Amino acid sequence: MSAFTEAANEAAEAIGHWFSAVYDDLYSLAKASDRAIRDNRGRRDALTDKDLRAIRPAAVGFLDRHHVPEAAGIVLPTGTVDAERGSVEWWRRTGENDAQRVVFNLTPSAAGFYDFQSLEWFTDVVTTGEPTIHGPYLDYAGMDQYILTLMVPFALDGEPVGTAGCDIEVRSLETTMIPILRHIPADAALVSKRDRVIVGNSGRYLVGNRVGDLPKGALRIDIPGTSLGLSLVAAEPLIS
Amino acid sequence: MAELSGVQSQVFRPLPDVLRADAIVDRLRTAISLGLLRQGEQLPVENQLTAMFGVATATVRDALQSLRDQGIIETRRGRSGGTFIIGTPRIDPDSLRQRVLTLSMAELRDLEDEQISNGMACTRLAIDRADPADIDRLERIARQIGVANSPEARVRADSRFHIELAVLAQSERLMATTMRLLTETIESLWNILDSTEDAAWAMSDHLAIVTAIRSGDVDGANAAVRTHVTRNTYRLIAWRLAELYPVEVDR
Repeated sequence: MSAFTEAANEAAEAIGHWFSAVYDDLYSLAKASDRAIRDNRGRRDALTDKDLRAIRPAAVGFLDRHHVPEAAGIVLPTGTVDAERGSVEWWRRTGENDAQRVVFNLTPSAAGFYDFQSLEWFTDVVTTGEPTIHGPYLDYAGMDQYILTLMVPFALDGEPVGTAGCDIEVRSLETTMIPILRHIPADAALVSKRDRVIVGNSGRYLVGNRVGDLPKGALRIDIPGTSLGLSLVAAEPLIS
Repeated sequence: MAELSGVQSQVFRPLPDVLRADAIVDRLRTAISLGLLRQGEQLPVENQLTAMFGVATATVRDALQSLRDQGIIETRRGRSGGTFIIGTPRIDPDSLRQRVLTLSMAELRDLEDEQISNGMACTRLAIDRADPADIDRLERIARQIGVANSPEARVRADSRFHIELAVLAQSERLMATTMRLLTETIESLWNILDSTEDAAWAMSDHLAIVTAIRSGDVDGANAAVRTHVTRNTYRLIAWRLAELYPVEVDR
């Protein structure tokens, strides 16, 4: 056991707690959105874009309870509302208890088309039914930011159709995660399932880099409490 | 139009005149700090500056007045008249450090990435294009950081080395990138890493780059550039995180 094992375990625990709380509430967002859409639709058969607008209070509520995510909502594949296009009902925080709907270009023939139905944060959740975290990645044509996307399955009237989730700007995650990671007296980082650094506590593991083989004496711990494939790595400081 | 974000908002950034005047002041101050414009040198005349910066005459006048007020330039009348550089900008260490505090980890990594790419490109071309005399000169410049004994002197010495790499690469575009990167980083760096130990490290990194160029070793030059840049970034981040997220634990 190395000098920083205990601190690393404690940090992993704290990070697990934080993500569990966000994901629990994403499932609540999915439920509340389902209810809001069904209430708005009433007895009408077909869904309309206006029905989707009804999730606004649920999205605003989520963004009020969680200050790190910057946008939240639901995503539906082609054929749910429109036969030609998918739907992204996405709300970005603009202030306390306030949000603005984000407009995406979802017309396949248009330049700058946001082809989200080919992106992993969507396909993974829809095919596996499991929650995921995707990124960090540059969301070109989407939010156009360096973000992480957290997603859970979304069901409408009991029928799994799409995803519900939120976007976190990489820099906003720093203020929450670095204080936790700084308690580890080593070069440490939170790492994604794909072995990519999400946030680190030094210049050793920088966001977006792949960790690869760990040096001797380093350790890797699974983040407990979530099934997201997140792990924590820690290694002796490069420069002390 | 909906609210713009990230990349988009950069496209539509406003360009008010007052910011342009500030930008000219910043550009000239930095050039003087980096040692590109030296004390006693004469600036181009007003209408030349207007044309080169692509701004209105009034904007150039505002900028020059501001530099005059700061005691950096002086305008003399008469036959041997003109605007001359008479002082060095006083570096405000707090605002330089503040600059680093406001950068996110992603932005610092991006900056590191670009410095590494640019450094590798410069050394690669330097290997192809420099002659032995050029490399001797680079080696003399590489040693300067080791004897520089103030943040200002370290800024000048370190800048001089990286500019000389672009000179040996014989590339105007890489020079422009080098200048922009130096402007963004170098003054903050040496106001944060204010130690002779850091200066000694920088000198040995510089000499490693020179050695690789001299022996035509592209892989070695790439590795030396990477070591140099990542060391600086590692130190900057360590400082930034200690400032922003102090903890009891000794690191």
